[in-house]
Order: sequence, then C-alpha cells, then structure tokens
Amino acid sequence: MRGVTLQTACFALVIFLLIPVLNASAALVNGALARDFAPASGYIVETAGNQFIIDLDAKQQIAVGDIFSVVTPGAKIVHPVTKAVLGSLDTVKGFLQITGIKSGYSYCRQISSATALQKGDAIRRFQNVDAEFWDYTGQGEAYFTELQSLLPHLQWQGYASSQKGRPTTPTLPKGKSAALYFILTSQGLEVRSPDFELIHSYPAVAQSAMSAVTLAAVEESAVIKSVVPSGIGNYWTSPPLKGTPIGLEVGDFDGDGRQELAVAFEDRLEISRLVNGSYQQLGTVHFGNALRGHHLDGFDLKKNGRMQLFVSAITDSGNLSGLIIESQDGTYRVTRNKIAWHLRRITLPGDGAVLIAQKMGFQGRKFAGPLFRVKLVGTELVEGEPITVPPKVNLYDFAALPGKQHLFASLGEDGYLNIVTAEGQVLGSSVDKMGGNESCIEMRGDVQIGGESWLSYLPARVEVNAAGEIIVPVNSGFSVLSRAKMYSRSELKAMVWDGATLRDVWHSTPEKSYLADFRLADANNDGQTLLVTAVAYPDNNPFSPRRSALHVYRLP
Amino acid sequence: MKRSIIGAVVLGATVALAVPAMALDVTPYGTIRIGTWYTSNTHYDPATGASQKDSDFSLDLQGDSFVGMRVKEGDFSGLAELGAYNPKNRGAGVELRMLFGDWNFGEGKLRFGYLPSAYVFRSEQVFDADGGFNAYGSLFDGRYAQIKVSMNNGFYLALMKTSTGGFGTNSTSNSTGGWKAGGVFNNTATNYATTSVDYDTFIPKTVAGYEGASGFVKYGGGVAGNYYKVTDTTVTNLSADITSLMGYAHATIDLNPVELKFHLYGGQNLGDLMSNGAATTGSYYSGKKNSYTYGGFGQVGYTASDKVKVYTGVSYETSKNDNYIKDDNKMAAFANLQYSVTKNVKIVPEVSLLNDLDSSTGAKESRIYAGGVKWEMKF
Repeated sequence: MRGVTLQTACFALVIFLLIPVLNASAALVNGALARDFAPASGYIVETAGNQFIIDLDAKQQIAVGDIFSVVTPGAKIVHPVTKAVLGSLDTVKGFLQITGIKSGYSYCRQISSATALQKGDAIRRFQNVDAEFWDYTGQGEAYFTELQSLLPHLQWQGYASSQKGRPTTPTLPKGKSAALYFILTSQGLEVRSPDFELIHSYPAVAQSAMSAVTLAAVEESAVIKSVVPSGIGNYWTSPPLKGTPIGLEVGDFDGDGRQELAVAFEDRLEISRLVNGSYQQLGTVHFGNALRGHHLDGFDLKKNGRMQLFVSAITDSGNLSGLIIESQDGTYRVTRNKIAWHLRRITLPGDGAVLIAQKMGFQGRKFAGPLFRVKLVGTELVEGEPITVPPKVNLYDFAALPGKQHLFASLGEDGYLNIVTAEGQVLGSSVDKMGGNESCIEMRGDVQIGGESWLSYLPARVEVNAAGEIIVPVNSGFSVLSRAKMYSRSELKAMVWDGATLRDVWHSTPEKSYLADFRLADANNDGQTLLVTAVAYPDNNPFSPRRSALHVYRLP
Repeated sequence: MKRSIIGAVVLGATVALAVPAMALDVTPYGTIRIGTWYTSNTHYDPATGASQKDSDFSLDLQGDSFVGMRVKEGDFSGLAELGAYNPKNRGAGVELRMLFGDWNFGEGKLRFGYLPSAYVFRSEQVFDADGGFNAYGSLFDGRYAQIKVSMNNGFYLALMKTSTGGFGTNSTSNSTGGWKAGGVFNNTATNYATTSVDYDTFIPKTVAGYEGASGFVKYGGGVAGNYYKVTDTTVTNLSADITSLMGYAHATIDLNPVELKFHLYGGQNLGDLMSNGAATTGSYYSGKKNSYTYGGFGQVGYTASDKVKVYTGVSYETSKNDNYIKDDNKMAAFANLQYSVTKNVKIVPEVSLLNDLDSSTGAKESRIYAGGVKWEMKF
C-alpha cells in the first residue's frame, strides 16, 4: 500500500513537472510552423532553362520544397468608411517550388501555371496555396482551427470536407491540384508538397497541451503580406541604412506641418521624409567622438511647433551626456549637449505627452533617484516635480495605462511584461518573454579597481496607444554572450489588460531581423496612422557595418 | 536499474526544460589577452653596482585573461571569474579572479565575496599584464575576501581579510613550535606551521570611502586601516604592533573627447596594508620604524575617433623611513594607442618605462623599457 502511494505520488510529480514541458513543446511546434510557413515576398528575376531564379535566399528563411504563388497584383481593397487599404485582389498565375538555394537567389521549378510566368512577376511564399488537413487521430479538429489561425495565408479546405476526401492511408490522391497536405497522426504532424514529398515534420504533442497554447488572434489587415517598394500598398521599406539603430522618432521637426523621420544610431542621427513613397534624406548629425547614443525621443519642449530630438548618450568615461538636436535655419544641428540625464517622452493619463528624466548613479548604477519632469526655464533644462511610478521601475521600462486605476505596464528584468500597480504589486504577466534590446550602456565602474567593463542592455520601448493597447517589440534569437548579442527574429505585439489577464490583440508578421524601435505615426503625411519600425538584419561580419532599414506598415 | 536511470534522465530533462521559466538571468563573458613585448632591462649588480643589460622578446598570455559569468535574479546578483595567473606564476594553475554576490536592498548594495580592494584606481598602462602603474603609483594589491556595503549616496564601507604584510600563509603543516610558532591562523587552519614567525590578527582591514560626481568630474576618496602583531622567535626583541593607515583620492575629469585622470595616496606602512608583494619594498614597517609612502599618477586620454583612443601617463612613488639611507623611489610612464578593430577585438601598441630608481640603501635599481602590443578579444 505504501509502495502504491509512493508510485502514485511520483507519477503525479512527473505529470506536474511535464506540464510546462508539454506546453513548451506545443509552443515550440507552433513556433516552428510559424517560422517554416512565414510569408515572404520577392520576384522572379530570371529564367534558367526550365527553371526560374527568384531573388530570395536563406536569409529570408526559405527552404527547399517551399511553394510560392506567382501573382499579378490587383486592385486595392479599400474600406468604404475608414478608407484603410485592407489588401489587394491579386490574381494567381501559377506556383513555383524551391529546388535549390544559393547566396542571394534561389532556383525554382514550376509546378503549375495558368499563364506564362516571366521575369518581374511577384511571388509570395505559401500564399493562396491550397492546404488540406488530414486528421488520422480523430481528435484534431481543435488543432486544425489553431493551424488556420497560425497560418492564415494558406487557402485551407474545410475540416469536414478534407476528412471526406482523406485516403485510408496517407497517399497522394489522384487528380488533385496543387496543394499542401498537413497530415496529423499519433506520431506527429507531417507536411507534404503537391507531389507528396515530405517537406516538414513536427513531433507529436499532447492534445491537451496543444490546445492550452493560446495563439494570437491575428487580424488580417495587421499581417502585412505584400512588399511594395514604391510605397503603394500595405508595406514600405527604406533603402538600406548603415549601423544598428538605437532609436526612432516621427514628428514635425522643422515646423512645416509635415512629418519627418529620425533614426538614431550610436554615433549619429539621420533625418528623412517619405514623399510619395520615396525616401528623402534631409540631414545627418554626428554626435562626436567619445559619445555613444542609447535612446531617442522627440518632444516639443520649447512649444514652438517643432519637435526637438532628445538623444540620451554616454561618454567614453561613463558620464551621461545627452543632446538636443533640432532644425534651425533649415539645418539640423546640436543645440544643447552635456545633459547629464537619461531622457524619455512618455504619455501620462491626464497629462498627455511629457518629457521625463532620470539620473545615473554611482559605482555601477545605471539609474538612480526618482523620475522627474524636465522643464525649460529660460534656456536652461531644470529638474521638475517627480512623477509617481511603481518602485523599482526605471525610466525606460514602463508605460502608464489609461484609466483611473493608476496601472502600469512594465518590462521586468526577467523579460516578462507585467501589469503593476503604483505600489509595485504585480497583477499579471505575459505568458512569453517580450522586449529585447541591443541598445546598451558600457558600465565601467569596476574597471578602475581591476574589474571589467560590461554591457548593460536597456529595456525595449513599451508604449500604450490610444486604444489602450500595450505595444512592445518581441526580439528573439540565440545570443548567450553579453558582447555578442544579436537578435535575429522579431515582431511587434499589441496586448490588452482585461483586468485579469494580458491578452494578445494583434502582432506584426514575424521578420528575420532585430526590431530596434517603433512608432505609430502618420509617417507619410496621408492622414493615417502607420506603424513605423527600425530594424537591423543579422550580420556576423565584424568588419562591415550592419545593414538596417525603416519599415512602414499600414494598420487596420 | 535501467528504468531508474531512464526516469532520472527524464526528470532531469524536465527540470532542465523548466529552467527557462525561471527569472534567472545568466550571462557568460570573458576576455583573452596576449602580450607581445620587446623589453630592454638594466640591472645593477648588488655587490659592485655595475650595470647589466638584457633585451628580450616575449609573447605570453596575460594574467588578466579569464572567463566569467554574471547571474541575476531579482534583487540578487553574482559574478564569478576564473582566469590565468600571470606568466611569472603560471605554474599555480587556474586563478579565481573574482567571486561575489550582491544584494540590492534599495538604499544600497551589500556585497560578499572575493574581489579587489576598494581603494584601487588604475591607469590605462597595458605593459606588465595591464599593470596600470601597479606598484609604481597605483594601489592594486590583488583580491581578497570582503564584506562591502555601498550606499546609493556614494558612501561605502568594506571589511576585508586582515593583511599581514604579504607574508602570512595558511597553517596546514605539523608544528613543533606550539602556537607561538604559527603563521596566520585562518578559517581553515587546523595545524600549525613550522615557521618561526607568529602573526596575531584581531580586526579586519577596513576601508571607508566615498565615490561621487559633480558635473563632469567623478571623484572619490577614503581611508583604509589595518592592524596586526608579529613576533619572530628567532630574532631577539622582534615583536611589533604594525598599524597601517592610508588616505587616498582620485578624480576623472571628462572633457569629452579629452579625459584627465589623477590619483594620489599617502600613509603609513602601506606595504603591510596591501597584503602582497606588489608593494614597494620600502613601504613596509622596517627596523622597528614606521615607513611613510606617498604616490600617485596623472593620465591624459583623447578619443580621436570611435575606433582610436590615445593615452599617456606618468606615476611616482616614494617611501621614507628613519632607518633608510635614502628614500625608496619609483616611477613609471607610458603612452599607448587603443585601436578597436571590431566591437570585440582591440589592439594596443604601447611604449612603457618602469624605473625603480633608488633603493633605501642608496643603490641604483633596475629599469625596464618596453615596446609592444596587447592583443585583446572580449566576448
């Protein structure tokens, strides 16, 4: 009897310990699916015999066996009330399948076409590809629903109709058109190509654990699928920029009534404007030697109708030495330096946007003392009254939620997004880690006594938009060493606090890049709020500057 | 049995996979440093005073090469570093460089561990394994167990392992001389040594100071004290209470892109305070007389670009004692260029001089001219 009790206890313990593993496994499977079937866009650049060459390679995480639809972009679908562009009526001309991947390009074979494919045709990975779900477990309908949500760009056949046409054992049915076959068995999930070649497989995950994983509700218009470099459509990207951005701002910097963009790097600030989809560079301001920027925010402190740009920076000696950069007489210049505070613009309920600051401490303390408002008295920046924030937050890691409850969204040092009261009580946390920032300060406090300097990474930007959604980047990627941190995958997530849990509302399409900063602003002066992101691409070459870019997305 | 092993592996894997859910933040890091130097040394024969010269090339791993790890969970954090000893002590194997834990209690930090003394303030000199004017105008004296409280307002207090002038050793061998003949009795000493010197220690070495800033000047200073009693049973009447007291101050003036650095110190029996052989010979209590040592350095740095910094500095130290025929003086100087090849790789060409000038007996002492490069890779 005693042995049975012990066995039961051990079994219960193992099950208890396995729960997080099963949940983690399900998340890993869904993560792998999302990665393997993530949208990617490009063009046919050449024909090579009976094959085609496309302008995508492994950098976009494409793999041999991937299927691309070849499309003719059609008319835009415009919402009659909001005028938002919801998508476009693309026409599918045919399908290609990757046969080989080279550096900078890949080979494809044509697997079907209605009309002749040619150089310059746009291609979209897995978009509009028919997908069948064959459930050999008899219990996979809930998982089918998850798959539909996870991979909305596939053209899914209904669950019932797919089961109706499902062969007794998984074999290629006769007379089928181009399709992907998702085959769920007790062994796991397989994905097979139209000619029934295995292209991906995933291990079995307990159904209960799988259904416990809550997937983000992806709103169709928030998932930007088309890449249109001319500035027309849902997505726009800038020409390549050099370096890793540390901050991004959008605002009217010169008082002309139009919005400009500012991207800060460690050593400089670049100002530009989007005009009819083209990128116009307006100026570059270098911070000077021995000074490294780590944060950027804009605020009209002078109340002159122009946003001044506040760059938080640190000298080689480890002193904060921020800058103000503004447009004067048609040029951008540093109008103030040696500001010994970390600086940030934040929106406070009841106050709107305010400029706040925090000092640096002694003996290796990155932040010290209360957060306070920054005031302009004459031409001097002075310390204003402190603001009430939860204990232990620092200048950069929180945002105030609207409402009278005085709640804050705060990125904890452990990487989770928390909802915190002003007294510091944590009411809820995100399921997954969020944030991730490559912007850092080199702490040299231990060097003088014979220790080493170390890189202290700043929290990622946390913002709350007008709808009360908490918006935060999610950067991920394998980087263990503190001096070699380089994120390789990113997305932007919007969460809401419903009083009990933090829920995903929408997220951007995951990208193979590091999301350095973001803004929600009318970046192209068309009256609509856009999502603007500054991203940097993975690059392990230490001798060349890292490549980065601005991306602009149209929001729902 | 096999089932048990499988079960253990499954449970182990389960726990391992569950670990990422914890809030523990672990960051490995490290630095590898190689020195390549041409040195020209001049020595003086102690008997005749005749000069002897020797020039050599050397390539070796610097003693400040190491791998380490930072861990953090909530208000608690820790650090551990393991590295190489300097070439002169390479046979000692792997060195524990630092090991400490911090508790951030809100108003300040409490640190337990093994780390350098709080009064250390180094220059950018890289010769002699990032010597930083060590023993020539800087106070680096190794790493010691200590309990340190540093407040957010800049004040700190450290209680450290008591120094016995660099000669105290663990007592781990059998003794025939009884308690009087023991060395320093430490936490793990269970036997007595067969030495003839008895060290008696009563209180920890204590360092109290302040680190602050005003505008673009960072400054700091403090006092340090140490006391022990030594008795040598082989020397008639050699019994002494040795009290060490020191005051120190330093400043860094950030005139971006120029940086100025100063360090000054002075006090009584600094050799006995500093616990290791890096201290100047003349700075020890000697001949039943206190020694008085004063020293410091000045350094100028300039950041020429985001990849290039140049530094130059000079240091001086003098030790006085009523028994000395002449003050024991030392000086050093250097100039280097720090070139960051990439974010992780730096090379530092440098010319350096270490000059021991004169000894307390009035004899000339050796000097070293060095030219070479430090090769550094951080990760």
